[in-house]
Amino acid sequence: MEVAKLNELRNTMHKQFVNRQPADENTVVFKVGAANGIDKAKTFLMKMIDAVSDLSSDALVMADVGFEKGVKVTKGGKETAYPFVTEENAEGFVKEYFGKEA
Amino acid sequence: MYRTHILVCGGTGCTSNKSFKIVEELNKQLTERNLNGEVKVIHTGCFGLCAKGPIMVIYPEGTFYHSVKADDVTDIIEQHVIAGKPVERLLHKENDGTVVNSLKETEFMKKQVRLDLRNCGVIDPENIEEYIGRDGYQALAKVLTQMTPDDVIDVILSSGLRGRGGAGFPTGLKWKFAKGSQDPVKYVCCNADEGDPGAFMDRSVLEGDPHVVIEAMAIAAYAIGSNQGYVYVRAEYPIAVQRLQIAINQAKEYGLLGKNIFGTGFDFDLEIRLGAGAFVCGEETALMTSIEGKRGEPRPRPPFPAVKGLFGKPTILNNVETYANVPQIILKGAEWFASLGTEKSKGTKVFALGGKIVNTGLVEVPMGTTLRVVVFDIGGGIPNGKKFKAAQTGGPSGGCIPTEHLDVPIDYDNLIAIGSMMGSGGLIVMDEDNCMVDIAKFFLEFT
Repeated sequence: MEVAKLNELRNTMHKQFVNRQPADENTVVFKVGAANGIDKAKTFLMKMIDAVSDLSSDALVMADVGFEKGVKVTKGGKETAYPFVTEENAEGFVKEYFGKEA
Repeated sequence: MYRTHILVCGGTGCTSNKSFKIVEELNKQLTERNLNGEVKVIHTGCFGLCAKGPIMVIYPEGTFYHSVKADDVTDIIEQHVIAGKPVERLLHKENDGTVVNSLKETEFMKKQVRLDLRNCGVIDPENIEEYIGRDGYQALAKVLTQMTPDDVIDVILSSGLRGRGGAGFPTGLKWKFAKGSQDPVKYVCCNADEGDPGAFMDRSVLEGDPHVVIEAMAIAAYAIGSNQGYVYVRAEYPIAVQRLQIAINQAKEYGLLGKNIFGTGFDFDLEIRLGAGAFVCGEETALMTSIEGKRGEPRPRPPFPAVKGLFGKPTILNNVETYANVPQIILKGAEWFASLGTEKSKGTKVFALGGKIVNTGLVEVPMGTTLRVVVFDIGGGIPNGKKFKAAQTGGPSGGCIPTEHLDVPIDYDNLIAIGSMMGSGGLIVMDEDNCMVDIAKFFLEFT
């Protein structure tokens, strides 16, 4: 195996761990509204996971049955609601979020 | 990508409690319910809280379930995975009754720093790509393409890493001595015999993160000029042996062991050798004699193994836990490692907590943590309201630490000063009902 191949494999596999790690004060936690059932929110949830895993290695994306629409983002103990985020604009929202953070 | 990861402990303790049946039932039900494309089940290594096994952790929430059985799987899937609500009856409660959702927030975990155990309970130890996904083999790549052997030894020396098998000899110095030998044939060995009563640190690393040992041994081999390594594992660790062999096979398949690694011209091969139940083969020269196919008997020193060891050739032998530190030291630097611990004992130490303690299991703390923190904060104290009497460390060569030394910071030198020693990490707690004469008799008979 060449080093370049190792790095490529590392970057691909690393995304798996975006949703498989404990959160700390630096972790950005995205909660997707799923009050109507996780199954109904599945596509939205997966789009958020795909988008976040491309841009951050210290983030979690989870379904939250406590609210219905949009996304809530928590970082450093502070939660912000984004009620207008949907399945359709999920990718753009995530890019904009991390763009702002950068 | 998966929306949910269900990690089930596959360490020896939880396996003996049939955690594999939980995995089977999870996979069966997830397939039946057509959820296997969005929910991943991972059979991992030891989480550490063995007293509460079988352990399950579900991400992204980080929900920690304890004492899980296969019969609980239906509730877990229906309530947690599908409906998004935790299964309350499986949640962990602290001694005072507080419910804790996340393993990280438990009193057991809060004061731990898991460096050697960083992948245990996180990755599938039988999947090399998961190890690679957590920066596995990056240190080896860096060493082979950017560093000279002397650079590697300098980093390990500067880190202050000392042998975790018991003697605490500076690891970098051992490698330097071996590198200095002119013989073209040298060997790298790993001591995974782990004979001390109550010790299972090395077992857990091999079961939960076998590739870290492979990677570290390859780094050590490059540093000293060796092309062949042996891992000497006690035969009483079948899961560890199996996972290590799978890992070695995968590393060969991916070109990370064998000829011309990363196209650098460096060759390194690794084999397992099994012990046969002799405590003495945990001693380095007896271990080497055993690998040679002879009766495991210690040899007089000098000559030391770095000069004349396995098959009469310069050899280094390091403990599993010692090796587990190496890749991160290479990647994060000597200063990072030296920033942890005490002045003369850097880094962390893994302890196997056993005996009269609430939270029996595996813990990792910075050197310098006091015994009081380990026993009472992390360990949960003594069960049934009994009084602490002593903690035995250092195996049969060690000693018992009484109440008056509970606040001594644990490191190599402090433990010797109070009449014990670090040893490999077995820490057996005794209460008011233990007879110290019986304890002394046990260890005399053991040796």
